[in-house]
Amino acid sequence: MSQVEQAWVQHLRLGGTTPWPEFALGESRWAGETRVPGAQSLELLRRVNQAGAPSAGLVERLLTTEPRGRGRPPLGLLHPDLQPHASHGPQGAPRVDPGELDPRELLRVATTLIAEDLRDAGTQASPRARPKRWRPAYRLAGDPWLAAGARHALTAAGYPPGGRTPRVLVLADRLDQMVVDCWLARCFGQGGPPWPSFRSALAHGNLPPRADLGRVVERRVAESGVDRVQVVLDPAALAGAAGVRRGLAGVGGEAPRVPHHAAEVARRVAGALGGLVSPDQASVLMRGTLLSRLSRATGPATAVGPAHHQSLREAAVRMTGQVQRTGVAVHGSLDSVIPAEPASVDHEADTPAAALTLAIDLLLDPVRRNGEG
Amino acid sequence: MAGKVLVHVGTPKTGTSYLQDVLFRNRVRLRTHAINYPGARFDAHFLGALDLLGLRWGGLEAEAIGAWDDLAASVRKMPGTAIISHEILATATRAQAARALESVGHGSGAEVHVLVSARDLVRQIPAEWQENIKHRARLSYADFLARIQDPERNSRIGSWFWGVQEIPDILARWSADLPPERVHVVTVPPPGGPDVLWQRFSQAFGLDGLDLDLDAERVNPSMGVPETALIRRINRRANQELPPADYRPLVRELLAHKTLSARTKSPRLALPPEVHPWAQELSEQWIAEIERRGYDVIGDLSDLRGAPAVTEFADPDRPRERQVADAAIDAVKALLLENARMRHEEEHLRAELHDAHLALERSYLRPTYRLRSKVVRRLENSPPGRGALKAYRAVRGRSSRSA
Repeated sequence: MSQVEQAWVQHLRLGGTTPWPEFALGESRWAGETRVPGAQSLELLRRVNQAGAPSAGLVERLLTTEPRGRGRPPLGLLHPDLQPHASHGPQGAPRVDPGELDPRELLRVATTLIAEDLRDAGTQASPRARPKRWRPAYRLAGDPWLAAGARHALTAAGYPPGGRTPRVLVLADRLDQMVVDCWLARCFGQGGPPWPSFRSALAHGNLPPRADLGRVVERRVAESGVDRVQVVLDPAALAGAAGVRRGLAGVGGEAPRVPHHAAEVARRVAGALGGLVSPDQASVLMRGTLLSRLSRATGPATAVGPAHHQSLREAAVRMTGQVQRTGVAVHGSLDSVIPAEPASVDHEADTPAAALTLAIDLLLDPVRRNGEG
Repeated sequence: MAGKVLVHVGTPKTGTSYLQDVLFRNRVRLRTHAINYPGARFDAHFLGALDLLGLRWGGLEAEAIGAWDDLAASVRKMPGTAIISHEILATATRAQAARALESVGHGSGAEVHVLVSARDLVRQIPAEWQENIKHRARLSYADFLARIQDPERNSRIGSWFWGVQEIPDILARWSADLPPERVHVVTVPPPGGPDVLWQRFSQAFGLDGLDLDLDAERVNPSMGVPETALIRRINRRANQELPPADYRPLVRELLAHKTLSARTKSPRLALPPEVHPWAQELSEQWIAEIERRGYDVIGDLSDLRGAPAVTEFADPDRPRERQVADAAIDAVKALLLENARMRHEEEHLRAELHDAHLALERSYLRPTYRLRSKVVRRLENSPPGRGALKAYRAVRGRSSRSA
C-alpha cells in the first residue's frame, strides 16, 4: 500500500476527479489510510465525483464496497512505471489502470450499492382497491411481462386473479417482443443471464417457454378445456376478456417497458438484491420501486435484432397455426404475433457505458419508497 | 466464546465434502470433546459462505441471508474449539476474510487458525473444469484451459479458478493478520492414499484419538472423459429449459454423482501434456513461496508438484463417440428408473389423495351433500351450466361458494 495510492484515495474522498495515471506521476503522498480499496471501487468513486457531489456517506460506502459476486476480485492499481500484468502481490490478479476497466466491472460495485439503497427504501403495501365482492374468476398466462403488469393493474382495481373454475387469459404480443419480455421479466425478477446470452439460445431454436404461444395455449387447453382459454393480443380487450366490464376497458393491457440499458441495470441489481432480502420483498422492490424509477429513463429498447428475424418469423407462423387448431377465442389479430422487419442497429456495444451512467445517477439520487427520488 | 477457532477455507476437490460429512454426522459426539461444528443442516457452512461472499447460487442465496452471522454467533457462543469449513471461502477477498475472522473472535480473545487443503494443479485443473461442467457450464476443455492461462484473468472462469486455486494468494488474503504458525497447509497426497489424507485432516483439526464414524454419505466423486463430455452436451441442449432447481437433483446428483461417476473404467480426465510444464513451473513458485512464508505444513509440499505428464491423453473435446454413447445409455437407464420410481410415487400419492377425498366426503353427514356436489361438478363442465351456477350464486350470496 504505497503512499501515492493512499493519497489518491484521499484525493477521491475529498471529491477529486484526477485519473490514477496522472495522479500517480504527481508529488502527492499520504499515509493515513488503513487500506486501499480495489481499482473498481476507486474508479467508480472518481466517476461519481465527476457526475455530481456525492454525500459523505455515499463516499464512504463506495470506499468500502467491493465488487459483488463472481468476477474479478478487487484489483490493485498499476503504476504507470510498471509493466502490465504486474500482479497485486507475489501472486494474485494483475494490477490495472482503473481508467481502462470495463464499465461492467464498475457496475458490479454500483449495482451492489443500488441494491442496498433499495433494501433500505423498504417495501410498503401498494395502494390497491379492496377486492370486489362480485368479481370474475380468471388467471393470466403467456407473456410474463404483460401478465405481471396486467395482474398488478387489475388487482389494484379490485379484481385480483383467481377464483373457482377460472377462464385462462393467455397474453401475447409480437413474438420478438415476447422474447424480450421474457428477459425483462427476469431482469425485474431474480436476475438472469445478460441479453446476448439469453438471445443466443434463439440460434439453437430454443424459444423461452412462455414466449412459445402455441405450446402455452395447447397446454392450457389440455388443463382447462378449450372454452375456458382465450388469447389476448389486443391490450384494450384484456379487461373485457377477464370479465371486468364496468368502466375499466383498457386497464391492465399496457405494461411499462424500460430502455435496454435500464433493464441491464435492473438485471444486475436483482442479482445483488437476491442476497439481501427475501424473494417476495425483492419482487416488490424490483417491480414496484425500481421499475417506477427506471421507467423515466430514455434510450433504445431491447431488440432481438435481424440475425434471428427469419427463425422467429417461421416460429410465429407455426404458432398461429397451432393456436388456430386449438379453436380458442382470440382477442385481436393472430397475425400480430408475426415479427415485423427489425431495425438493423444493434445497441449492445453501448449498453455497459449507458448502464453505468444510469447507475451513477441512481447512486447520486437514490431510489426511495415507492420509487420517489 | 470459543477458545480456538479453525477456519478451513478450501480448496475445492481436496476431500472437503468427505471431511464436512464426517464432521456433520459426528457433531454430537464432537461436542462431548468440546469441539463445535455449528449448524443444524449439513449445508449451513455453505450458506454462510454464500452470505459472506455475496454469491448467487441458483436461488440458494435467498436461503443464505444472514447465514454467516448465524454461524459466527454459534461459534462465539460455544466454549472449546470451533470448526468452520467450506471450500468456496477460498475465493473471499481480503476484506471479506477480515470480516469473517473478526466475527468468529479474532482480535477479541479467540485463537483463530486458518487451514487450506491443497492439491497439485495437475489434478486440480481438470477437476475444476469438470466442476464447472457439473454446474451447468458448456465451455470446452480447450476454452477452459485458454481462459485460466490468460494472464489478464478477466473472464469469469479465470477469476473463479484463481480465486479458489491460487494457494499463496488464498493464504495471503486469509492470513494477512495472523502469525504463520496459525496458518496451516494440508497437502493432498498422490492418488491411492485416502487414509493418508484423513490422517492429515485429523491431525490438522485435532481429531486424533477420537472415535468417529468415518463412513461417508456425501462425497464429490469424479467422472471420466466420456461422461464429462456427455454432461457438457446435456448442458448445451437442456440448460435453457431446465431450471437450476431441477438441474441439481437430476443432472448433478442423479446423472453425474450417482450414475456416471460409477463408471470407473473409462479414460480419466488429465492435464494435456503441452500444458503440464506451465502448471509445473507455477507449482514450483507456489512451493517456494509457501516455504518462504513459514506456514505450518501438514503433509509434504512436494505433493503439490503432481504426477508427470500423461503419455496417452484422452481429449474430452474429442471423445470416443462409442464411449459417450455407452455412457448415455447408462444415463437413459438411470432416468428411466428414476421416472418409474416417480410414477410409482405418484400412483401412491394419488391413491392416498383418493382415500383422503373419500374420507372427506364421508365426513359430511347431510344426506343431500353428495347430490348437490355432483350437480355442481356437472354444471361446471358446460358453459350453460356455469351460467346457471353463476346466476344461482348471485341470488344465493357468498355462503354458497363453498357448496
